[in-house]
Amino acid sequence: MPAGFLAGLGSATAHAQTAGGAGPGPNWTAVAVFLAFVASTLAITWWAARRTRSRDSFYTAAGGIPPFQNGLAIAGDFMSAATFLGITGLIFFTGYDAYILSFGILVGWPIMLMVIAERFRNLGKYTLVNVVAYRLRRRSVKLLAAVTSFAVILFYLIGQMVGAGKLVELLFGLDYAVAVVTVSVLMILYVSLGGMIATTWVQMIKAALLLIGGAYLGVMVLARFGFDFAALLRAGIAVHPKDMGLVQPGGWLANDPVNVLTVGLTMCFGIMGLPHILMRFFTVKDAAAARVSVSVATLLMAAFYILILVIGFGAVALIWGRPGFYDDAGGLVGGGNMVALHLASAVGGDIALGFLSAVTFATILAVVAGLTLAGAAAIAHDIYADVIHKGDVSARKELRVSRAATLVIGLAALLLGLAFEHQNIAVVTALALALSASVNFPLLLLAMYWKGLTSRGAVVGGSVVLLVSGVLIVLSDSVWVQMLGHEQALFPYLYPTVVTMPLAFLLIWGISLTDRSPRAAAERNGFAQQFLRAETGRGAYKAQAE
Amino acid sequence: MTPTRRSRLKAVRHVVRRRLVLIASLTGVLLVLFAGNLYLMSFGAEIGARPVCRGCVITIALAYSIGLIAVSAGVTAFYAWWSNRHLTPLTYAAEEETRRTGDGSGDE
Repeated sequence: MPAGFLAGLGSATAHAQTAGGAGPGPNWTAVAVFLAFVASTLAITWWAARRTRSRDSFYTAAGGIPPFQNGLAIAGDFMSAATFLGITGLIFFTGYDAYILSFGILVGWPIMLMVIAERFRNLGKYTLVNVVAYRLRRRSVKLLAAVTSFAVILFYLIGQMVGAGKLVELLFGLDYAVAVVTVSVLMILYVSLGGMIATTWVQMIKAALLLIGGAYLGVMVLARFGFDFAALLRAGIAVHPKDMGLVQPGGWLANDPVNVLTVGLTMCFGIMGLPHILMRFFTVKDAAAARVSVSVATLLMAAFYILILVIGFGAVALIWGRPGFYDDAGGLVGGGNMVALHLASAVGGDIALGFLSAVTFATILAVVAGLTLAGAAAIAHDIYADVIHKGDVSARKELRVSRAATLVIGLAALLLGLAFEHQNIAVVTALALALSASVNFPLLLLAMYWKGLTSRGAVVGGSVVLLVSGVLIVLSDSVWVQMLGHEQALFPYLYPTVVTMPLAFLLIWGISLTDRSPRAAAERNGFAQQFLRAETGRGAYKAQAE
Repeated sequence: MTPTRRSRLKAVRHVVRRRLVLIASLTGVLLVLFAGNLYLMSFGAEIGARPVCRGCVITIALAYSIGLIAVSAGVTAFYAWWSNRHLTPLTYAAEEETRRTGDGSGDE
């Protein structure tokens, strides 16, 4: 299924259900590794809880995370189960085209480093809204940015929750609901008690484990082919029905320029508006440290994405058509997103399968913790403190609201995870990245670089694009055909980004230009001060002080 | 001194110009290379589907994508090195100059 990449585990829903009944039952290596992960992360949470007494500590670890550790955590945020399982699965079935999901994202990272990271760190305090609304004082701007941030987080969260449930159901033999409850309880504990410190450590441990697991798989696969990548590809081409098409463009996006462009734009620019990623720029002491963090993250991800290629094509060579990996109906056991785990089983037996499975579940747990923290910040800091109370809230009270918000998000994720069990989760996850690229990224870029941006332009333009994005996703194949049962999609492309991202720039620009109000003039005048702070970091440290 | 006048200070202008030139160049290069990969997957799919050499199985598109990832990582490493070595001292100097000429409060 084309759109299944980012849903990752989520889009395995139907397949996993099939395999759930015929699954292998509990894998004790997986259980042991997972329990060790949970025990160690809970111990870290207990340790972090004693250091999480202030609002700064809760949201940003008071800027005290060293750059390398933060880089590892950023990489962890992005090396999700969706990347590991989803992209390898898509390469397995469709071949080379799926790799756009890797290089599209990776091209975005250095651009994010150069264009966004430093200025974002210099201008902001806790969230994306702080930066977007730096000189745009209307509460509606903050509300729009907060709502969009929260929507992105929520959609992302639903995909991860359902994916976790399905994975645990398949691998551990546990009931779906039990798995979703387990994830919810753990993420509430991590975030509400340990805040950003615990979340960062959970993310770091998981990133290290995933890199070790990925490297192990990559090396084991290459070893089977004498460390000759071309020999590996030849073996894959020999068994795959696409033949040479496996390594040629067209297997997924059918060489359609608009689809290629819309997926490329979504991947490259979608990452630049993800609230839980952007929030990590505040967890280091200054812009230079943010820069180092992003560069460490990018280098780790580059290595990981090269491994993904080896794992994806390696799976074709070693799994395709092998009876042990297919069910009676001829489908891959567990569905397309279980390819990497089947490969682990093929090259390393039950122990490798168990290790990788536990790491995958830990990956989901770490990602949902980061998302929950970003969601809590959007509710408590952006909406409750900034929008409702106009910033007139004590840090202590905001911290209490943040912890309460964590609980609410955890419960909401639990209920939504249960409610969405049988839905096509690819839709909601695609919506998250598309919204990020279509609304958050244009708002953020224009707020930081264009003097002419006004509140009216941001609110009207952003709201219209938010609405258009929603409508186009409903009219696309994922909803119109797959969920609503129509024969043909009214919007024929995978994501709306090819339309909505340019539309956002155009609308926000046009409406801001025509805004002649005194407020607009004041906002334009505020640009010089903002520019100075963004470029030199002058005043940035004050924003971090409690 | 107003923020507008302060941003015209020599040290600030120097930081802005140096950063802008490098960022614009590197971002431009990355976007052009990215567009090249999208081209190989769409209009130029025929070129992208060709092997990189006679008898090879690695196609031009596949090799290009791997190269793009390597270039992205290289650009990241280069920018981090360059900015830490050259930009950070300039930024501190600019910040210091604005402090000397400003009111010292930091946040207007």
